Amino acid sequence: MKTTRETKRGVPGGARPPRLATWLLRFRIPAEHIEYVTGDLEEWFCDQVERHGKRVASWRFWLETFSALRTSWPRGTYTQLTDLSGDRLMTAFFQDFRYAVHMMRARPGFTFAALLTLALCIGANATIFSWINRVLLDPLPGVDSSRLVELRQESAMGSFALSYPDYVDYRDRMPSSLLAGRENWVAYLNAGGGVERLETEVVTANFFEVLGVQPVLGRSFSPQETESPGAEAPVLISYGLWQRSFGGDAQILGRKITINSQTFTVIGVTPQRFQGSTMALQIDAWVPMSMHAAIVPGGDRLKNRGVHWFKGIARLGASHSLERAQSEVDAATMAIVEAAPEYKTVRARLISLSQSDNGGIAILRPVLLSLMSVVVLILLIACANIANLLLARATSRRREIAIRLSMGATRRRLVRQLLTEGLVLSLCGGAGGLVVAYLSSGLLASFAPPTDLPIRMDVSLDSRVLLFTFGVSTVATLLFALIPALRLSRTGLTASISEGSSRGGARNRMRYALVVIQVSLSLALLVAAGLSLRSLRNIQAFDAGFDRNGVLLASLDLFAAGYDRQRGTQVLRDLVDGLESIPGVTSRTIARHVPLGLTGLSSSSVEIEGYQPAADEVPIIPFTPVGPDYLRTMGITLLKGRDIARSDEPEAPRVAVISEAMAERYWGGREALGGRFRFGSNGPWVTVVGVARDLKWREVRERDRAFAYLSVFQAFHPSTVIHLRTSSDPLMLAGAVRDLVRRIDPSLTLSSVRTLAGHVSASTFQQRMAGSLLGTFGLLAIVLAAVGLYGVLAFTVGQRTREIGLRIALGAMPRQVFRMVVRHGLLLTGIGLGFGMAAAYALGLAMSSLLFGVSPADPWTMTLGACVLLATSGLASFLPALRATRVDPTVALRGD
Amino acid sequence: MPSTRQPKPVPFNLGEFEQLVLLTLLRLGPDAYGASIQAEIEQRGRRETSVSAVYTTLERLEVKGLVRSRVGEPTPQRGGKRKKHYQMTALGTRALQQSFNLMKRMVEGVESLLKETS
Repeated sequence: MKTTRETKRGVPGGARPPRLATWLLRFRIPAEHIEYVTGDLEEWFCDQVERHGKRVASWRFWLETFSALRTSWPRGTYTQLTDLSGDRLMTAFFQDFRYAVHMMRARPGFTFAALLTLALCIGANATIFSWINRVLLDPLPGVDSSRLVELRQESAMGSFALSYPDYVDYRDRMPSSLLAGRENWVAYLNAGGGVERLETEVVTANFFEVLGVQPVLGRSFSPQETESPGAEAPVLISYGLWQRSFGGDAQILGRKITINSQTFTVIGVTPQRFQGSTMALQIDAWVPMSMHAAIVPGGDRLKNRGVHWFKGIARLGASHSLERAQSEVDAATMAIVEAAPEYKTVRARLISLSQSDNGGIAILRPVLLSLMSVVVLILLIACANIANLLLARATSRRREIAIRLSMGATRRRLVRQLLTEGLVLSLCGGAGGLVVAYLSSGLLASFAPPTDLPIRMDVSLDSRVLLFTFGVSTVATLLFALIPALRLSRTGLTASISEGSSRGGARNRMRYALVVIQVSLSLALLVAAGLSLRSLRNIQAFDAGFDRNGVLLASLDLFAAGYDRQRGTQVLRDLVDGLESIPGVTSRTIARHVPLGLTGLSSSSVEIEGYQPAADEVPIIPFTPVGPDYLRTMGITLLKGRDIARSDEPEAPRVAVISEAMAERYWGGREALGGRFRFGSNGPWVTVVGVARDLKWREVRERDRAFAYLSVFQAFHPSTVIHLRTSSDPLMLAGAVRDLVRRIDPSLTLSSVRTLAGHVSASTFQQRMAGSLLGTFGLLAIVLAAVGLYGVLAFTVGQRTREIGLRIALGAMPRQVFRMVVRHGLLLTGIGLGFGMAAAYALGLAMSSLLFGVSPADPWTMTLGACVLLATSGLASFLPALRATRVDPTVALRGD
Repeated sequence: MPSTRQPKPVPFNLGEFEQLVLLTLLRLGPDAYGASIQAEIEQRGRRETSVSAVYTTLERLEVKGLVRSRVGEPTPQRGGKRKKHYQMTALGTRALQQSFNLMKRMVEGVESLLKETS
């Protein structure tokens, strides 16, 4: 007899089979075999190592493992696995999994439909969540923003920025956290021959410490650089700028660069992912506050408490709460009020970054939250759909289930098997959903408003999105698989006797309920889509108080080119005169701000002659310096008096045109024309020479506000926007404007040449985004509802073949049969529509902040949505009804 | 028609792999175990197989009563894991014989054809 081969075996070099593989084997091989089998496998492995080397042996061991996992071990049959614990549970899971895959492959049509539905719906969820993740949960890429808060000062007039002395007071009185200040500002880099526009942030020296960002090259600012620049004017540049403008030069540290005609020394490069602290904006360079005068116009701002110009951002200490920090801030405010009584109505608040309107991106919050609730509804519809398909399939599986029950399988075991099938389905759908999300998450950037700001909203599918998708898939499983599984497991042992048993009343009721749910949710979605599309149309047609058509805009920055007030005013005069002579121009002006552009406004406290403010009232008026013929060029109605004129020169008496709301608020019954007000308490008096109709400055939904237009020659500001009105295509004038500017000063460059209409469309991007996405989802909802209704009707007709055959045999006309099926479909739809109206109203209320000029309960939109769904369900019932009329009574009745 | 008395036939037929495993048990004797059976089938039979396939077959044969098993003593090799030794039962021997006879009867008279084509 031959001996076993163990005598020649050793363990060469102590080689061991792959651990993961042996671990996996433990779950699959029945416990009573595990010792011998793994022992044999190890022995076999050592033999392989001797013969082929470790790598090949490991590879073969894995193949062997997979083969063991695929093998059905005789002791592990379904019916015997009633005590499920530990390894047994895992073993059973493997079996269920294998069986689930088998079931999916056995019904490719069903699998394809279910997978496609799930992939689209889970993908929509993952996409919207990835946007929420980017905008609300991880607003500053490369920064751990969980403990970052914004410090904001507020008064009755709204919130405003910090002044430097305010900042110092807060910083020194907040021991539990670290406060930095920062403001973004446009500057110009002179590199080589050209000028490059930079988005910069002027920051306190502790900025990078507060954000927790380490430069990839060089250092960040040292503490004293907030107030004194030291020997060199330091600057940190972004990774992008380093690559783009300096070719990734390894010797960049210590290099001198010129920004706004001031020489800076590069001391560091920030990480690639880091964008700065202004949401969605890619900052190119960071300048310490000591150097602010080179970037920010208006002279030294560090000493003046009255100049509010930057925002505070703080990192809460590790063990301190927001409440604790807020109480410190309150104490600091009290101390400031003692030194500066005009702060008596000011309150300072710490708010989390996701609540802040930082960078204007916060206006996405209502859009994103509405979209999230909508995609959840879509997922519910899809789950109802798949549950229905599973219920229909359950009937054909009753025999299989009955056999299993009779073989001794427990109901719990059966439910587990059916749930595993659902889980495998939805995990595959979830994987497809990730692909959908990967393809569509980039769409967020395409909704960004068309401005010249370097908006960067790259969305990544990080671990949080993956986890979310996994969670959604699991919940979806419970939603669509649990009911069919529970119902199916209640199948009686006798059910297998008669396949065609018509004892399906309860199951049908459940199917009808699911269709009703689908229809009502679809109506809600359709109405939401309709409401947002109507809002979009209303907002686009809305009269914001000026005529947006036929106007060319072009921005010009004199500060960056080194102009002071006197020389700058002269350039503006030349500009205004030169623009007038451009052929085709019907009217021209310049202005500091353009309405409806998501950009901020200047505002200042004013004293108004003859107006007694209330005890805690400080009148603050937003204003903008404008050139001659501003109202005429913008098409703003002048109600009284005159427009700003060319003759409103620095030497002339100071004049202003005010808004109707300002005239009413502060002059009331008195005549506003000829009235006077002044900025601060000791500025020169400004005389009101005109009253203009109110217009919308920040967004179309704002209420009319007090506003003042000043003469740009009397209230100089170095950055200005050229406005040209023409009766032809505005963009045709761009070349002539460029030539004119070059003639005035060749070193000046125009930026962001655009039309006023295009500029205004930026303010509607919220509605555009909601409208187009909700429209898409509404369409998806209709399709899902139609498929669901079709499936149920087709199934019911199939089930009722015999009954229908009998009816036809007894003399029913095909028309009557047709009508019977369609009526059934429409009845289900009608009930769904009833519930849907309520759901639509609730959804409309939830998204009311997105609506414009249309009520959440708008009867027209509701009616239209209901009609669309009725028509769709009519179509969906058509085919099953047609099939019912073709039932041949002799064939249908032969079965009995 | 053969007139000799036949032993009572085993009430089932063996699969091909079952035959291979039983033949290997015949060769290896009472100390045969999973890995040695698998190695023998690979070396002598020149047929690739996996340990788990061998085990599941042995399990099936044991349920049918064609083989019996005993657990060996732990040895320092294979990390002290014990082996499960398999041995054919009388019923197994008869089943194998039955299969072999069946094969023999079917092959009779056509051996030359098989030789030529192989």
